[in-house]
Amino acid sequence: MNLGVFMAMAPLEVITLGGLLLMIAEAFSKRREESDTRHVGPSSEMALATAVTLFVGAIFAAAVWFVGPEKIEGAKTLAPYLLVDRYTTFVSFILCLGAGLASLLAGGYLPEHKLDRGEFYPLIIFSTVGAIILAASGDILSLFLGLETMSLGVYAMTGFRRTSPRSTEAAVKYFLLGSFAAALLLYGAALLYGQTGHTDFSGIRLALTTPPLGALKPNLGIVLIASALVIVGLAFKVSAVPFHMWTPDAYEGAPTPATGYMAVAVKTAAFAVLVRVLSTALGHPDMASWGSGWPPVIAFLAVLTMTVANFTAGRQESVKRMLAYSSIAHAGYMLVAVTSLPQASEDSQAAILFYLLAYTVSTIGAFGALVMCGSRGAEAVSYEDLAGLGKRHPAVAAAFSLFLLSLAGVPPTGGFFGKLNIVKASVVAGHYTLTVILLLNSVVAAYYYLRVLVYMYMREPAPGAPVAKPMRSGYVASALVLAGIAVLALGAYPVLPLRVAFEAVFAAK
Amino acid sequence: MEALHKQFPNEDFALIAIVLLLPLIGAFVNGVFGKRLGKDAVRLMALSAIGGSFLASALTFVMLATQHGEGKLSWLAWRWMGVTGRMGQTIPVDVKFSVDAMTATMMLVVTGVGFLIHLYSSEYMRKDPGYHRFFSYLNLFCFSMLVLITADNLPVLFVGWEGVGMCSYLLIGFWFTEEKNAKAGKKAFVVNRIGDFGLIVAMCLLFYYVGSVHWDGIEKNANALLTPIKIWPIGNLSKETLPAFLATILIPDKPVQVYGATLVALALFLGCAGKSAQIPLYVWLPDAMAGPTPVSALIHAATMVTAGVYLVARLHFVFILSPAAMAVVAVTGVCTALLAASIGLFQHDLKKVLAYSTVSQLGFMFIGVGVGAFAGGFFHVFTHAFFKACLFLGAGSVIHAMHARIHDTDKSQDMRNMGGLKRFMPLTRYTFLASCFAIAGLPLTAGFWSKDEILWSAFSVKITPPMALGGMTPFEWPSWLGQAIFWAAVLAATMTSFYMFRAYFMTFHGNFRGWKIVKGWKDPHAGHDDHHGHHEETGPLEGPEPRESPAAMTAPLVILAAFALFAGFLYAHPIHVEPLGHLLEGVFDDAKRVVGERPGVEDMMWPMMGAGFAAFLVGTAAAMWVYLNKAGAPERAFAARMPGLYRLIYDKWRIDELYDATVVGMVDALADIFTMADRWLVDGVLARLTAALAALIGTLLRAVQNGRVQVYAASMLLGLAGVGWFLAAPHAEVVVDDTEVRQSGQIKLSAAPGYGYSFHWDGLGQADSKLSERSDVTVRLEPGEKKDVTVKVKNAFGLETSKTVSVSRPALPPGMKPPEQPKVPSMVRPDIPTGEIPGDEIHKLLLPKGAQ
Amino acid sequence: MSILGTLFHFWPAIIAAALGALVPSAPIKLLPIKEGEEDAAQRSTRKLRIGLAVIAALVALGLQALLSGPEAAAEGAAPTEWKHLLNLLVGLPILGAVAVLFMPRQMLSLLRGFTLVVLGVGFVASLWLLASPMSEGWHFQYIREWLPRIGVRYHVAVDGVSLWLILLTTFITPIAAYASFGSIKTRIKELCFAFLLLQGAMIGAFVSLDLFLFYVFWELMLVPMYLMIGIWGGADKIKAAIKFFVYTMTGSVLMLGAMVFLVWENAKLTGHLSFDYLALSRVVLSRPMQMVCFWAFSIAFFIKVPMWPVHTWLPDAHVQAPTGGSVILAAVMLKLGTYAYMRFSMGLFPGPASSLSANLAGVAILGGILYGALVAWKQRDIKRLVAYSSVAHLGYVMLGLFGATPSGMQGAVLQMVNHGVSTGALFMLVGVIYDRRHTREVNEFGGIAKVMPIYATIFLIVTFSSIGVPGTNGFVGEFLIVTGTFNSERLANFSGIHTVGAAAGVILAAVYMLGVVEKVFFGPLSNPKNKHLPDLTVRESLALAPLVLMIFVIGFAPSVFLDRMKPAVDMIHNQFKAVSGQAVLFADDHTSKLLPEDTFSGAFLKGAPQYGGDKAADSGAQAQAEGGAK
Repeated sequence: MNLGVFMAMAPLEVITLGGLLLMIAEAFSKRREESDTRHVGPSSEMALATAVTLFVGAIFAAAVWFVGPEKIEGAKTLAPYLLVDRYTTFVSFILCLGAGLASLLAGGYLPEHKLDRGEFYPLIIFSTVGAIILAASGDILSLFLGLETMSLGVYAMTGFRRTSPRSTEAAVKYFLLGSFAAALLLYGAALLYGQTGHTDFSGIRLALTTPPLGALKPNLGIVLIASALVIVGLAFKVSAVPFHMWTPDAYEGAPTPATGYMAVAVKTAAFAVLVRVLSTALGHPDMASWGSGWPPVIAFLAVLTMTVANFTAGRQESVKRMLAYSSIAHAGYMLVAVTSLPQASEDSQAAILFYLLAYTVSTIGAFGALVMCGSRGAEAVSYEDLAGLGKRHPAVAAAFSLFLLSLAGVPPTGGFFGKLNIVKASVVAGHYTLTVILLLNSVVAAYYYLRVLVYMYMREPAPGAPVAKPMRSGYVASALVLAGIAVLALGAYPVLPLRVAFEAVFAAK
Repeated sequence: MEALHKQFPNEDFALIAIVLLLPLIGAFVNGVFGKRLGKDAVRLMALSAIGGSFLASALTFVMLATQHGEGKLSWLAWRWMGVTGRMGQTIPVDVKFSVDAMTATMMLVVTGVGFLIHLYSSEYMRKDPGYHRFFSYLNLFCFSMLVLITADNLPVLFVGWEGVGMCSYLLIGFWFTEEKNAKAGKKAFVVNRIGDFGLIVAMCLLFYYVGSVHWDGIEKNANALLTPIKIWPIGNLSKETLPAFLATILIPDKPVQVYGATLVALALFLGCAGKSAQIPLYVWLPDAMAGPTPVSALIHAATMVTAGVYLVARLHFVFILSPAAMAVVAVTGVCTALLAASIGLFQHDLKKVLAYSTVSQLGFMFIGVGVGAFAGGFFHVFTHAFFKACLFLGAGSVIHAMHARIHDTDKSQDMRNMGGLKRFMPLTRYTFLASCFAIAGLPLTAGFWSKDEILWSAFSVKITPPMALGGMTPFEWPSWLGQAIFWAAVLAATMTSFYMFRAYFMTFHGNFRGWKIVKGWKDPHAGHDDHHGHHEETGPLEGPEPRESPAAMTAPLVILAAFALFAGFLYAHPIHVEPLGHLLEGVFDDAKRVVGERPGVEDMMWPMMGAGFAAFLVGTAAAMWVYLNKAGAPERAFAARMPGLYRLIYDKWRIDELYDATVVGMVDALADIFTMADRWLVDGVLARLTAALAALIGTLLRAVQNGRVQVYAASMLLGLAGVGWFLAAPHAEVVVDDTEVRQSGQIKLSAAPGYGYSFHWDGLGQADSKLSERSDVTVRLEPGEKKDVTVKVKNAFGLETSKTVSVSRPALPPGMKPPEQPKVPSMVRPDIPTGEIPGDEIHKLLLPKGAQ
Repeated sequence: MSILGTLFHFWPAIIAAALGALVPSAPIKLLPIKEGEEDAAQRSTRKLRIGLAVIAALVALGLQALLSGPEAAAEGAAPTEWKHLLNLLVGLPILGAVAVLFMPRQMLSLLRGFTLVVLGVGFVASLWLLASPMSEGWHFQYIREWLPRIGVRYHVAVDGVSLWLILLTTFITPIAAYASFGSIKTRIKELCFAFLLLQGAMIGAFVSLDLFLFYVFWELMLVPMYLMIGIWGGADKIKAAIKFFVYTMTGSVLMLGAMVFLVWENAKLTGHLSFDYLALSRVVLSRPMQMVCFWAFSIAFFIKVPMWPVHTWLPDAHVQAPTGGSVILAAVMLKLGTYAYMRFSMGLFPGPASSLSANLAGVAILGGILYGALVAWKQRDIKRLVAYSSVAHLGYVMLGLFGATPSGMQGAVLQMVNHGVSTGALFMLVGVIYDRRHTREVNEFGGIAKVMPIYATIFLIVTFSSIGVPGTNGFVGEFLIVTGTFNSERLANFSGIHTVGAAAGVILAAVYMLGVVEKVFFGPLSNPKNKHLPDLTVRESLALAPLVLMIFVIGFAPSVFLDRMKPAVDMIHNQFKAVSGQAVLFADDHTSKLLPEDTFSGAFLKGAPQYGGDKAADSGAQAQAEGGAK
């Protein structure tokens, strides 16, 4: 038993440790009564600590990357339960980054809205731990473990605003549907195990391709059903239509930092594992065939997801809901890349990884700007709340516009490069129709992103109407600055991240 | 003289620059600084500009006459642009000017008459607030007109051509505060634009077929215009592309062809008809009289409107190649002459009468150039400039006098308000009379000689067509055409003398009908400088006796009248006194190739001259009887007897109304339709409909999101069912790869694999009926063979489906081996593609796909 | 040389300056001077005199330089090209825009001054481009690796075509900015930002030879214009702004897809990912894909031009946009469509471009020249009318491009500049009257010429240039285009009808423009509201003067412009002719092919990516390329 193991999983361990310490700290910090209106309470320090912890995790992930997980002997010892390769490392970097930014948002948001309770931060950390495990899992057991760890934290965060019935309702819905999906996933996994006698992805793949002598030949029909169940279970997590319906409610009910976290971390981890499962466990060429395998299914889901989400998002009054739908739409774009896995494995995986990165910073930025726009009693929810913001608070408005443009995929922002890579991947794979649908969808998306700009810059608030009054918080501001820099950097000079993404993929195979 | 010739060699004759620039400078100074300079300075500037220009052109004329040897004086100002021709050669289009006899004569007319009219208007417009504006426009006009006549190529001529049109637009609308003046100006410009369209097309044709637009270049390569051109069916119309019933109607068995020359000439003539007010584009000229009278004299009588005749004469070497075009020109001319003269018969507005007489005289000029008497036609331009300018200026002087009490423009020009003016304004009267004699063709006056020349050549003309080319028989002049034109023209001449003397008698004879003349009458509102303020007195109008105009206005009248009487002897062909004639013959000598005399008319010249004289006598006598002796009673009687016809003539045969109803109306309707379509069809479908659809879809989808968790779970189950169904159902997809079929006849069929699928191929020929894992097979086909291949698919659940694809191999033409893939040939330079296909063939392969 | 020598050498400039200084005194006299404001009027007069003098002198100098240009620059052409000039032209405004963000929004004069200075420097710098004789091929070329992994390079260069469009941009934008500072008083900071960013993006789009770079600038341009319409626009601004954005974006995303496909095909053939225009023009796609990609590109450009039937965003955008916005939109942005069609559609997909040209030319004539003119005739809003007239004018430009004859294409490029100048001036003039009366309804006016003589004069001049009266710029362009059309072999047996149709447009132009002139300026001064309209102010006159001067300069000395663009146009034409032949002959239905390098002139391929060294960047692309190829 050597240290390599620990080194390899350094990010995971670091943030787990940090989380535990934070819990203790939180337990011993003195509780403050609700009437306290100071914006800087103990939880703010906790926010800082959490962010630091997560960023340290991110840094460790980067460090592991540069050392090169394949060079660390002993890293393999965790396989198949935790696969420590560049792919995992990259994803866990994204996860830590996103979670860190989200906790910064929380640091500003919670005190502002009198939700100033410390348990929020350990929740973020532990569900991040779950997310990393999920992303790293190479085995159904660890997959399920990570999934649940992640989800539980998120459920709790969704319902964090105890006093608000909406929040609670959202949490319950999310929990119900989530456990339903988990059940489906688990059932599928069980069937697979039953048919193949394996729980690790590569083993399953092997058994499906060349059944071991003596062992009974797997019942192909049941395998197909099982794969359907697994796909659906994961599709729920990436909130693909028609398994998306929890998303708007959950996102709207949850406190905005939590929403941001969900939109970013959950999706990232889910996509990471989805790609793993599809390309290894179900990677059998017959199963990945364009005629009758999961690719057409995923393609269909992708088209459905993009279109439905975009068209619905166009008709929302609440910006937060709009962002929720937009995150669904982005899931659709990434599903397009997933579709082209069999034909263009490297391109599409790299595209997904890069897109996840760009999407993470843009989305967190957008939610952060939304947080920044509102303050207690005058939270920014609907479009009208934002009317005339460009004149009243140009800086916030400018930041918001930047993130929205990135989400809309206007150059030179990270979002544009993300889209470009996906388009390239699916062109390489030869899915021209899918590409065109994606492109046209991005036009529809541009429409509702622009509506925000319309309200911020071109409309004046109706006299007497409640307008959002931006809060002032160093945390949120710094989060916005970080995200903004990231978005622009990804747009203007994405050489390093691109190279990293590709190497991650090449190393993965 | 020698020194001058050294100073200004023929090739670089910079004197033209002076002729051109002086008016331009005058225009600029008056236009920009005029307001501060004051009226006297403006007057001085304008007069000196045009006067200097006159002197310079006089010098030019002399130098041209005295130069050694033939040839013209030319001056290249600067390179304008270059156009790429059909052969890829660059055709230069330079800002270049040249002067030959015709141009020099025209320059003298423009600057000379122009100077007189400037002088006249310096008095006539004295009271107008827009004095400087007026003279700046007038100078600008002279500049443009000089550019037009001195231009050495068609585009530069076009600059002047549109320039004079623009100035006429500005001057007609000079008193723009009146709606109708502005409208008249616009009408003039737009109608002229229709003509310009013709000019542009003509230029394109010349560029393409002749490869030059300079006069010399065109003359040199004119014969290139004898190539036949297919004008129908156009584009890709053919028996194939049209439905049968249309094809039988529209598509002739052999395409309709005309000579290039005919196309060019007709396109040019469209432009000339616009500028020179010929049928069908003459309608703008009468309205153009809305401008100040000197403008009518200079632009709409003496110079601009004759530009069309000038152009035809200038490009005679194109016209003589196409007898058909010449016939069109002549016939249009004679029709215009008749129509305008008939309208002139009963007009009451003095200027309207003159306007229609101008149109009619222009018709005579076109008869001249149409029957090949280019010199004669141009000489009529020359004489007409004098007498018509004199007539207009006389009318102006009368109107000026009438303005003393009648300020309304129309009333002050109405001849029914005049009469008996000979007592009050003798000078005006006599000059007017002289010009009337000239235009009516009293023997030995200028008008007589020029008109007679035209009539005689019309009577005696014989056009020899060019040799037949491209299997086309060129158009032959029927022998009667010339004589028909002659007699029609005589009729028109008769009418001319009638209405001219009608005008004369109504204006100057009888007794004054304008107002009650009171000795020593004082103007109640003295010193109002409003030129035509509209304040009508009530009761019978009283006023002083009309006054003769000041010297600055009468002097030009006298000079012009003198020319009107005696200028004819510059080119009196019958009596062989033709100093100007000799100069002009030099320009048109190559017309002699084509234009000759009919046999057997040699000794008929004098008798035929009698016809012209008779026309003068009859018309004059009739006018005298009706308006002098009977004081217009017969006209009133005629009006009473057949009011319909009288009104119709008085309303100019309602041609304007006809145009409004047809052409203008149609374009207007089309525009309305397009506007509607743009709003509701194009924008409606592309923008509004799509937006509405998106909104609708969004709303529908949103309705599903109703917050009930059961619905959510249901949709998940639905999704699961869908996925499960798709994975459980068998799918038969076949990809056909026939890249090799042309060579080897190999076609690869591959069915999409699926987990636990087994396949069974039918129709391959070989009989294997057992299911196999093989998901792809290869078919081999003979040329022209066709096969239906069916694949049966059975999946893990034992469900089956099948799909049939039919593959075929194109048959080869007999005796031809399957072609090997052509390889991309390399090329040295991009502009000359080599390979088995020569460069000039490539475009044949590129003929628009959708288009043939 | 001596003082006298200097004087002698620059006499045109001096005379021009003197004239310019003399002219305005008359106008100023006409301005209503209230008592106590004489000195103010004096000062404004002086300002106007100086301004006009400077403008006139500059124009004269420029002309002098140009007319003596080719001979003078013949010797030692290459060393005079400073390779960073284009970077300066593109970068300066963008950096300026960023700088503006950090300026306090209260200091209006600082913001305005800074913007004008940056734009002015841009203009002066762009004049430097004229130092090069613009022989065939690329000039001021600058190449730098940007994203080697996906084969994107920062590759900018100009040739004789883009040269004039860049000059047009740098010439128009300062004027537009200067004019709008007069009429727009709110949110100056955003305005300056928008102007500078717009300038940078437009120039960038004109100079970039890398498809990716072009796309970036092409999209970047949208945002500021969107803000400009949306913030300072009229009553219905938001709808117009969104319509503008969505229309343009629809086109451009399709272009993006086709772009990526093309790049991938190229990678499969050469084993290298590259977005470089020069490299990609060697690819001959399979016939069906040629058609698809041609349309994907061209629709984006046609929307921008705009061509019927995707033109309806234009009238709305123009009517709603503020004056400065309309000027830039009409003068420069529309040209991006035509320029991009000429450069990219014709360069990358010559096959479809030539086989479809007859039909497209039909659309340009019927849908553009004739339809546009007729619809314009029926508009009652002056700005809408001008907008539709742009549709007609750009119909001519596109016709010249479809005809694809040297003179036709020269005319098209010149007509782009002409339209920029004339229509820009028209929009500015409409803005003048709008600032006075806050309406653009034709019926509101009548007889204005009596109270605003100078305004009326200038409007007439611009009108005549816009309807193409010879002697003004409009004529030269249309003339070249129409003659080119008749010579065109692309239009085959259609050239005759096309020529007639195009020439007929000349008539309609007169009808609608003179119609509005008559209604607005002539007739009795009926509406009491117009009785006391002040004539042009100093600022407006200064903004308009250069445009009016250009109208005559181009009208009388077009060869100055044509000579410089001729080599470039000839190269484009020859290449189009040759490569379209290749594309039609040798494309097959399945696979793409790569034309040999010697299909193109060396001057064209100068700067195309070379893959000699085994750069780490390539290996990845190589690997994928093989992965995809197999």
